[in-house]
Amino acid sequence: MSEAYRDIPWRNHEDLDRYAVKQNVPVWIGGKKVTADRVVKTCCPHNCYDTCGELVYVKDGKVIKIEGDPDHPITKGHLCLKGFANVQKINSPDRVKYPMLRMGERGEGKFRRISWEEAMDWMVEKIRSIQTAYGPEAILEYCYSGNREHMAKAVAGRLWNLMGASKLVGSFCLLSGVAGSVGTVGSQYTMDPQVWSQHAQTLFLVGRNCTATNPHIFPFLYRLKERGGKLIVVDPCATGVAAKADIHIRPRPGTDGALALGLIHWIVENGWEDRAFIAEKTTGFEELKEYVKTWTPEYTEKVTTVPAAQIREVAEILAKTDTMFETGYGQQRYSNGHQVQQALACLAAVCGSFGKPSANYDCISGMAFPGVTGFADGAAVSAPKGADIPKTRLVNIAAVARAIHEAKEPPIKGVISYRGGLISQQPDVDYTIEAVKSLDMFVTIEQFMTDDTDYADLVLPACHYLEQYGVHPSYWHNWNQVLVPAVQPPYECVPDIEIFAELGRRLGYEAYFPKDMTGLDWCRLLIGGQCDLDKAVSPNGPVRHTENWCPKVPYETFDTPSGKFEFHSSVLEERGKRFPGHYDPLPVYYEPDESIAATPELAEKYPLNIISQHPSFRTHSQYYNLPWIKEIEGPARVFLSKKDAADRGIADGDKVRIFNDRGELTDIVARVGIRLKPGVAEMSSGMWVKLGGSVNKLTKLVPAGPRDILAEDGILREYDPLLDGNTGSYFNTLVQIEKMEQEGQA
Amino acid sequence: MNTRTQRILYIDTRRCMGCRACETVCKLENDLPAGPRYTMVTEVETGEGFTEKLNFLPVPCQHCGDAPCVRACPTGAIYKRADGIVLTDGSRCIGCHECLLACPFGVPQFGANGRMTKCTMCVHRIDEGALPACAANCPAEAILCDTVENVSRILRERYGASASYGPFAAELQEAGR
Amino acid sequence: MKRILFDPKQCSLCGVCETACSLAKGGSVDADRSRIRIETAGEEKPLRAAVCRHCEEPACVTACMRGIIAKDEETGLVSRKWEDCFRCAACTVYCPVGAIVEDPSLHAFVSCDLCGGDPLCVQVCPNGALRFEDDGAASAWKRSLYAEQMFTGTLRTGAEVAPLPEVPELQWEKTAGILSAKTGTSVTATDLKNRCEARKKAAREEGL
Repeated sequence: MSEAYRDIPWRNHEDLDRYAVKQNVPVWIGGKKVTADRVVKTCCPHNCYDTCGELVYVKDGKVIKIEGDPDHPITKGHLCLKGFANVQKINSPDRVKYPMLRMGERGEGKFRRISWEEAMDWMVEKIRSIQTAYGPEAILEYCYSGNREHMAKAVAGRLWNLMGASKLVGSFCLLSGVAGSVGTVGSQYTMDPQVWSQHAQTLFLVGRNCTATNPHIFPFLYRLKERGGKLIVVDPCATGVAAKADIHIRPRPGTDGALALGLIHWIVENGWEDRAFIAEKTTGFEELKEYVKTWTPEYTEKVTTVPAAQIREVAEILAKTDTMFETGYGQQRYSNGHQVQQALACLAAVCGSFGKPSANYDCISGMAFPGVTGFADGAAVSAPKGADIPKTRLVNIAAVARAIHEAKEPPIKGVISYRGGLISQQPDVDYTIEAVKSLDMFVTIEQFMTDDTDYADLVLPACHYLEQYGVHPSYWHNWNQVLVPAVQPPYECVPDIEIFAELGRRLGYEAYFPKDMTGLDWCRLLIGGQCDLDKAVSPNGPVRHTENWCPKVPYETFDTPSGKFEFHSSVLEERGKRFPGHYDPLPVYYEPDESIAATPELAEKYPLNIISQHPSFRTHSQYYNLPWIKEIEGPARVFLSKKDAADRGIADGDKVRIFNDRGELTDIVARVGIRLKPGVAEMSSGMWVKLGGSVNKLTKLVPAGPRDILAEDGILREYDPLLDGNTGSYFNTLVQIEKMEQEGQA
Repeated sequence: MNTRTQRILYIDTRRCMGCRACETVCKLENDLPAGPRYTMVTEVETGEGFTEKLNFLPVPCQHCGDAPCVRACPTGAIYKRADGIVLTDGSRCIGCHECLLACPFGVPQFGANGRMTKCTMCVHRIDEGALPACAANCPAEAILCDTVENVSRILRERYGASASYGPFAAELQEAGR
Repeated sequence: MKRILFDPKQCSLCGVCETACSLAKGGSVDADRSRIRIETAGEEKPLRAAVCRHCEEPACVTACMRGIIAKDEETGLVSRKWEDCFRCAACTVYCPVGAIVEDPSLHAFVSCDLCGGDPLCVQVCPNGALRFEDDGAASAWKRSLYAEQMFTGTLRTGAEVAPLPEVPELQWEKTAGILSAKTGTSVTATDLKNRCEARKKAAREEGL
């Protein structure tokens, strides 16, 4: 045992052999057989639909190989490119190895190694002084989905609650869509792909680039197609899944809601709506019918650029066949995102696509929300019984930089950040950096030296997900595998829960962070009796949610005030009376905040709408620094249509400058082709600011609705994640692109 | 040898959707650093207007029946095994790159030592009855590794039904229509 | 290191590379003296470019009786002190790719020196059949080319004999311009075209 081990007695896991599916198991490495000490079952907790089952081979305390778990009924032993790259990631020599304290100015990236003891003392002192000077609410966590499992967040939440810190709420990813969806549908369930692939006649897939974000849907898509079913894809980009579609609809970015209204119009106009379903299971249809009157195919074409003929054709298919709706999250990353999703839910209801094995509407599985569904009880962990937990203000993550800039009484002075890239992932990078610079304390818990660490006062060495426990139910399928550590943390890395527990103990909350609580104990507390946890812990698993959490045919009744699907949403209407925002009971269409139609003067200067999809190469900003991934992805690229490129004298492979009033990116390689229609550019999200390709230098901080949280500077007293929404509207961004002078040219 | 019974890596381009998982599973299986790429997914845009489409093709070694690299190699470092797998004897390679020029698919790779190395169809796995790593992992089930005859049969199973029976044939049959 | 690559499918057999090389290195047009030669080996085989590959284990280095050929460990370049060559021809005999030629004006056997890192033959090739790339880019280029031909229905393997692609008319002027500028010798588009015709005729007589 090394010196470091003895220094930090609270960081180690108990004996891990207990999780071995098999010990002394031969495995191929580089064409040769190696005997691994053990193979462990776990799952991938990244922010992704698939939540793949994994088999992890360990030798001499190191992960030497990862394979898909063939027993997983959805992912079937297959992983994505990132899944395998985890071997390179976890063993990377570039890992943050020790606690490090900033030496130079913020942004310089100069640090010195300190001991954990010093690091803890430093944090305790800093927190105490901020609390004394400004009050407990001057402290804020920043956390997102780097490791999306819920347990550690709940443990950290326990500490924030006890401290009375400001609480981070919301999501900048999908909650606008969820608000639109919950406002009309109520509780959310997703239909298993094994079911719909065998029964549906049409799959209507919106805003999801499955190649990158949901690769395991493909065998099910192909099953549907091989049965003769049709695949209809809605995406402004010609993506990998669009390439497999029978019909690819390419709306102007941000107009998917208008498209849905146009489709509803044509269905209703022709009397193709599912009248029995509408009569029995819905309310408010007459109001919707009245509203869509003006959305003729021709008018819809004007707004969306989708040909009227295609709208008619698709409307007929949707209405006349059993259509499964799989909606992604791309379509709601606009300031009108909640409205888009509401319109899509209404479209599904008009088609009667609810609660049939052949036809359902999937937005997100309710299991995705710890503490909302009751499946995972976040509060059981974060609000311990008997503790005095003050009601604090809430900070919305979709406007976190605004809150740091604007919060008063008290201002936000200390941020502890983990599992998220604050600078690279929040819109408007420069504004975020200014916010971070204003802090008295910025602590990041990171695996690598990222954009965030450069601005941190203290960097703490984080664990890879294969080095810690966790619970991560998929938001797409209904199978669970508990995350167990495959290996002990290397160097001086510490599992997230142990960092927060130790910090908690040193801040005086010993009673709430018992030293002998293992990660698995915390998982048990989180899940309670909702599933037999042991069956999902390696060597066992994965297990299906108990049937009450994954109804085979959901929506017998809708979980809304009327018990029915509400075309005219009563909950959104009520909510709108209490909070500022766009709480329209009907899916009223309005233009995104920045668009050719909404801001024509701006579009004169910046005529291209740039959207930033998630690429296969990364989960948000993760993996960008790995040699394997860099080799595959190549330099930062922007995709352009042939027309836009020709207009600007740009040839495929040229270096270009992309800019607007918020920032600029230089030396980006232009890829000219058919992927985009004129007026649209695409550059994948998640590239690091310091490596030069972060599209968020250009995006604007305007969270999507329905609630207008900017009116409240992102600082809230009350918040309902399922109805108030808020998604970073990354995609309504206008830019100009120009060719850069090449070397050797005058 | 009989090509019909030769083992091949077949890419079902109707299924490949460009996720590139084959690239990293290959790196891991063959313990490769950045540099040599035994397989690489290419993306090709075709068509105009409504026929516009992205196409994907992973290009591992084709293990050709009559391999140009074997013929081009001046030192006999590249050879074809009895079951059709084309392999390289790195100790005989002088790094002349003739194979890279001869190969129509750009398959030969060169590691840090400058010697040729390439996709072996995961011969170590094949010899123990397992599929190559890329074929075993492909999330879209687009990579098939079998004899020419068997690949042909699998493809007929995949696409024969939808082509001959038309949309919703199974459901219509069930409904007695 | 970067090496000269050749795609037989894009070669017009125009001989511009040979013209350029012999002009630049030997001062006159003489295909036999060119350090790059496009070989036509009859109907069985496709065109190939005989040019130094800067092997990792160069046979010429082992073969040279005077020890004047060496591989630079850092740059990878195989170079020779041709002033000391006494024309034993061992390098030429042993070279596995036929890359070594005799330059009578220099009284020595010589091979491609990559023009110091920006080969002229690649610059002047009117059809883009020659490229100068490192291994990774070379492989990626060939893979992409193959995939493109497959999906656009234009696939043919290098082994098939197919009509040589024509050099686009406009390209002749451009090529002549680059060639004249780089070698300091006036070369016209007509010269190049005529030489191309002659080259093709000779190849046909050889049996292509």
